[in-house]
Amino acid sequence: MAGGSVTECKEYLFKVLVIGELGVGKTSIIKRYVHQLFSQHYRATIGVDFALKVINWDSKTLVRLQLWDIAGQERFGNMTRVYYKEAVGAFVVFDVTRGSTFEAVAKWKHDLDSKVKLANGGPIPSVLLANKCDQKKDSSNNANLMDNFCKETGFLGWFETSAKENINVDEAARCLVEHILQNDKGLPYEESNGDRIRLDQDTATAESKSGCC
Amino acid sequence: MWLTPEEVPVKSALKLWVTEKSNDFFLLQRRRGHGDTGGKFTGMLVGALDTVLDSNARVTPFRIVLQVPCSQVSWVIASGASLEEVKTHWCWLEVNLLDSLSVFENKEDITSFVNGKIKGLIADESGGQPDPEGLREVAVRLEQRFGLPQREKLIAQYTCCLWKSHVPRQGWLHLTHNHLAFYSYLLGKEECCPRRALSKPRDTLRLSRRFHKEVLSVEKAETSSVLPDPVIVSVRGRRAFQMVGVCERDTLLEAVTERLRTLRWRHAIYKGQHTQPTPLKQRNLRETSSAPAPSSLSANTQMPKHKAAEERCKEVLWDGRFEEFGRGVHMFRTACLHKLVAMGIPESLRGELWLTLSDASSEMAAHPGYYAELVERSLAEITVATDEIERDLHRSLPEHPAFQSESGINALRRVLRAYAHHNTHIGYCQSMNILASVLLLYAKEEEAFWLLVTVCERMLPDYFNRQVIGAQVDQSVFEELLRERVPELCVSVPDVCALASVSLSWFLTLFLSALPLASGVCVLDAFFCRGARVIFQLALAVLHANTHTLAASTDEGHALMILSSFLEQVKHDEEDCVCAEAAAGSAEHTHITTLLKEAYERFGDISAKQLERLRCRHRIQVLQSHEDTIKENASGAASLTLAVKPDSRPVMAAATYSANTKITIQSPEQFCSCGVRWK
Repeated sequence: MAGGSVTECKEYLFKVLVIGELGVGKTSIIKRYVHQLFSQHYRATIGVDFALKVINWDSKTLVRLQLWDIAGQERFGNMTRVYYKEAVGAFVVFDVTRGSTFEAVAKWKHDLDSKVKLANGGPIPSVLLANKCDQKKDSSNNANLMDNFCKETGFLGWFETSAKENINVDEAARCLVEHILQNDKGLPYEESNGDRIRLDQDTATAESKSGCC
Repeated sequence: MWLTPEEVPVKSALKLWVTEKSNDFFLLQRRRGHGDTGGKFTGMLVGALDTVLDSNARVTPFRIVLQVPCSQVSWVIASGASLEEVKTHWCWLEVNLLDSLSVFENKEDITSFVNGKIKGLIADESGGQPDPEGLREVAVRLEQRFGLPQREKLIAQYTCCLWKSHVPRQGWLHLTHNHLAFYSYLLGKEECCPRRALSKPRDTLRLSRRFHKEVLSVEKAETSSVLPDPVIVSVRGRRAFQMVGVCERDTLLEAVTERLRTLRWRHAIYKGQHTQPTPLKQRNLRETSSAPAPSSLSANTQMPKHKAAEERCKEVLWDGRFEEFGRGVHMFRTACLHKLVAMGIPESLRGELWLTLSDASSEMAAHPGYYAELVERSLAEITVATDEIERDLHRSLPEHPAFQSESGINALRRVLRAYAHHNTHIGYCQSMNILASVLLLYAKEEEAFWLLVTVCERMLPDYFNRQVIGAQVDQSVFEELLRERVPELCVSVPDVCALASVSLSWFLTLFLSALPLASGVCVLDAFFCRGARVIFQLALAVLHANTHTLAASTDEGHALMILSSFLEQVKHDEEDCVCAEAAAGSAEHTHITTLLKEAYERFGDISAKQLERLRCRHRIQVLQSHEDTIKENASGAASLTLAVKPDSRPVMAAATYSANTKITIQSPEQFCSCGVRWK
């Protein structure tokens, strides 16, 4: 516990899910975010895996993120629901080099929304990650389409990420945590949406496009 | 052991038995000469007498006698090899019978009441079958003399005489399910070497095939005046034994021939010649010697000296075992086998023994050429399964050098694809990649394939199918066992369900995904030897070992992390074994053999039968909830259909399905950037 200091430090523990199709790089994103590492040699996740990330959010806030790395193969879908319980945020990951993994995003999002809800009954905040952007073969810009897609499917926003090149992983996490914190403070998150867009666009680097709802 | 009550005189001229304990009706007695009466002359005399006469009391020097007051006869109702054994019977009598006996007025009634009870107990033990000829007692003695497994059932016994180097040896010929054993006991032989001498006059002849002492045939020979009713038992290795004076010669012949026929029929389908596996590991290690080997594998790649010596030592033990109990599918499974397996199978024998113990070798022998055919057919096809396999090839055992080279990856690909083609109902399930890659380290490709078949279809039924139902059922069974067997954990951790859910990967990968490889293969050893219950027992032991740390955990995520870091540190260095055992529990690194031992000791009573019963019960629930989920998903499925409106803007068409404009992604290339190129 972080007591003792003059300023009262608040500590949070958030359970965040990382979901998406098989082999889109969920584990790699988590390892990059938590251990600042990338390896080609991660094992396929069976069932579920965990990692803990401690963030000194600001001088008054300490956030512990518990990242639940959930196996992507479809046949496990039925049993992984138990892991969704009490989650307050989620990353849905797809692989930009494989169209089918994007097709599945809506399925994952629906699965998520139907199985876990916030205390107020709303869907838990979720961020869409377009991973492996270092490997994409053409540079066409579909940012508008993606923005619209996020709006329609209820994502806070989306990020082009690369666990390998360390692109946008921290930014995406910051976006999600910010929303989780707002929810935690009881603010309805529609109010904060205006701020969100600005912030994400600021953090987007020149070579990787990202957007938020 | 309860005995069919047998009348004995109350007083005998020789005081053969010493009463250790008594109450109004029963006496617990010890054979004189057994135990600590050492110096006394009578004790020695009785001991010698027992030896010479080969009395039962040599094997079971303790007994319980029913002694009704004022009665002239007493009844032996139980006997045992140790005081502890008869004491449990004694306690049973005190608790269950003693009070009711005092009610009887007539002493005959007491006798018949007790005798009835005892017979009932015996019938219970032997599965409802009466024991007319006292075969039970003989069976116990056989077990001790010949080291036969307990499961070995005695079929019949005959008195006869073994004619060996012109000396007749009178004794008993015992026919069990798999053995023909002759036992004779001669005066004089005993004296020179009291314990070892037994091995001289006994001969076990195996009925099953491919042994140096395998029985080939049993025939009648001409009766002559010197040798009445002879029977010739021929064994492999051009040896034969002549038995003479066989009582019931014809029934013996019939019985043995019958057993031989049954066994031969069973073995006929196995052509299985002995193959020396050249495991992938050894082949590949040579090719990839430059590859960096992570520390966890250094034991495998470069075996330290003490380790090599220890491996050699284990190999010698196994060789001895092969010599005596056979090598291959027909190898006998005795308690000693379990002990050897528990020590960890030596690396050089692992693949072979996995095949033998799981009986995958018979499947393989029964389908020659099948694997090669599958490989050929499967390599051309492209399915969801092959795509998923491709993604997982490099994520199976990436830290092992064998899978850092193309040859290892290709072997894994072939095995997994062949399996997906072989069983389309299962196809490919994640975790099979991990299983297959470990199997490939120790077995040849085809063998690995058949081991995988055995695991997926026989040993873990239904685990890997489209809904992973079997694994879910076992998860649910595990939860129940956890509540029942580790109740202290359930008190301190409210959400046992979440804890049990971590077991999913333990069960699906047989702990290979959770443990370091060297420890994981020990679990595989045990699994192939004892079956799936080992996984339950081990899982319970893991949670039991962590009861205290788990009680202190703040939330389920924390709890699950405690468990995974515990398992990551389970070691397999033999030299640490002794100290690890001493400090087990408190030590930060548990040893895998300690953990397995703990699992057997604490939860060894969980039987395959019990699991089967539990599975049946839980299966219904799991299927029910599965159906509910499907319904739930189906109701929401319509809203999942992505539709494209005429203005090319993707929207979610809530609960409506517009078939004309469903999104199709034409090729991955089209999709390259972050989004979809809408049609």
